[in-house]
Amino acid sequence: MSADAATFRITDVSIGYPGRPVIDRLSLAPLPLASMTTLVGPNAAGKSTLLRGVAGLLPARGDVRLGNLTLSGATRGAWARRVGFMPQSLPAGARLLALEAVVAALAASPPEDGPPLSQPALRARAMATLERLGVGGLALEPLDALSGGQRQLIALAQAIVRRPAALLLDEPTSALDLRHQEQVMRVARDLAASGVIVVVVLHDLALAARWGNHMVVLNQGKLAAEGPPDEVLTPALLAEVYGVDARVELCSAGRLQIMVDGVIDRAASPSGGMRRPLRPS
Amino acid sequence: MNASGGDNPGDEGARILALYGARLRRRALLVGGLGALAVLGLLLDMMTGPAGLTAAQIWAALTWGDAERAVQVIVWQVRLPVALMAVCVGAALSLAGAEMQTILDNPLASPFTLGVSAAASFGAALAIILGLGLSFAPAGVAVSVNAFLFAFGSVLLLQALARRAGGGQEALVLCGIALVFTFNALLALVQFLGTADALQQFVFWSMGSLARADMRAVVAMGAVIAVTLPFSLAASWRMTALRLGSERAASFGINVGRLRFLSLLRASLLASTAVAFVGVIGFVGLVGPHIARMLIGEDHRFFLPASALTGAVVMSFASIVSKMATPGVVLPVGLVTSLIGLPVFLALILRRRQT
Repeated sequence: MSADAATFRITDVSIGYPGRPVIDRLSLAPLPLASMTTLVGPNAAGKSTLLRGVAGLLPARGDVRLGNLTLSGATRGAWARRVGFMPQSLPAGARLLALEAVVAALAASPPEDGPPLSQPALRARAMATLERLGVGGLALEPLDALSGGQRQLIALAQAIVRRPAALLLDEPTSALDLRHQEQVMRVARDLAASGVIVVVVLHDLALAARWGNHMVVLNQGKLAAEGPPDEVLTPALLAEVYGVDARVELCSAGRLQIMVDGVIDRAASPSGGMRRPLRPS
Repeated sequence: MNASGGDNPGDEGARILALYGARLRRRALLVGGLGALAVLGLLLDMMTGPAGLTAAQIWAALTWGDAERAVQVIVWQVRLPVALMAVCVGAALSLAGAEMQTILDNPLASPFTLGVSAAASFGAALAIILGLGLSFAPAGVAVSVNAFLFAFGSVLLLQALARRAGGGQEALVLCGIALVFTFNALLALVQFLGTADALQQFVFWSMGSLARADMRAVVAMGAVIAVTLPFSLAASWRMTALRLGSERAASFGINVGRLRFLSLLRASLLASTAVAFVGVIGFVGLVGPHIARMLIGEDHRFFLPASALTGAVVMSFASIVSKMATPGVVLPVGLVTSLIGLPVFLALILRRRQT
């Protein structure tokens, strides 16, 4: 790991589409080396937009920097050598083998400085990455023949085979069963433990609390809270951001659990809100 | 140490890589086989025609051997240019189709989807019907020059329009459809103004025919392929990555806008040149890539050359059929590719659905 990849800083960043700003002048605490940050918030909070902007896939104003490399000053290729991004799903219909999809990720542009890798070296590295994720046996399967969970692991292999210093994952567990969720999150945490700065967008707060050591909560394009999950996730925050009446408790295994008791009717009372149970009690 | 690990797979991985290596060799063999089939098509195409020539006679004429003067003339001035043009035009249209299907992420895209043929037809109509063209273009090639200028110009216009509409493949397709309708309307206007005689000439042009081919046209078409193919092959991994989604491709460090622009430029150069020399020949640009994809997959290192060769084979055999279907008459080859290609194409797709 190069020394210049020490921290990921997002300062005063605005991201959006023409005529529709989504993220407005957002600043986050620096994301340190070997950290796993979960990015949560209600629908349309701007989570995926923030991730795409930081990955350089949407125009972003403000200061995004990884070590001494800035997003505005880097070429597409230079930024992609440091920052990996995994979109939500692999498109269907491409007649490629799983191995080819991963080799294509490596061969598309040089994954690191220095002389380009030979074709056999590209193949060996792609294969080693698939094995690392436990899907080496799928290497010669057509992409379209794989299950949703398997495809997600191939997509993850595409992102990590380039060995980014920072890895941005957009809802990697959506549409996955429990076992595959566990598998994907474990890989992400192992990557973080090995020194990669991992940022994961998640919908499931319990999953986010369990796997991340840092949590960022977005609401309507603005920062609602950030910090360790057990400090961030409070009934007051859940009421304010999600509009739900909820309890936050520790289960017998010592993990945070969130239990929603009802939704808060914001229309009835804009100041505090009237609590309405989900079921008549 | 990084969690993505070392560069070397385990024993099982090495075994899988060896299997993959064998698969790559098989694909290379398939591409070679398609090349051989294209050569066979070329030879059969040269043997077909009103003056029945044997393979030996053609070989003698080609090698300046012991052949009659008449055979020499037929082979060198009639059969060879037509047969070579069939191969070149088939390869050019099919390669253009393969590139367009990838960059537009649309299996129905062909070189003519975005208005290239409509623009070329309009340009040709201006020359044939109204006699409008570049004053310095020699009379014999004025129609081709006009067709090329309008076809290529329409693509540049398309790029400018699509960029203003926000880039992306949807913008390209929608602006392309708008151009198709615009040029068709302009074409109808020119036809309305034309005389019956000029209209007949134009209709013949628009059906697409290899009979117009001469050696100069073959050299020009071959040169365009020779110039564009290396760039296509150099972009093959990026094109493969683009098949997995433009956002994902961008995250691999690809400048997707630039890749699309240059690929569209190559495709339109190939298609415009082909249309300019032989008129509108539909279908090869659609069916060639489909057959190649079914045979070889979408690793573009193999898919692009296989598409070009498949197009060459299809076109050669269409040329043979156009000469044999009605004795004494050479049908416009564009009619043959559509009439015979369509059912074959449908059969291939239906069979694939069943398996």
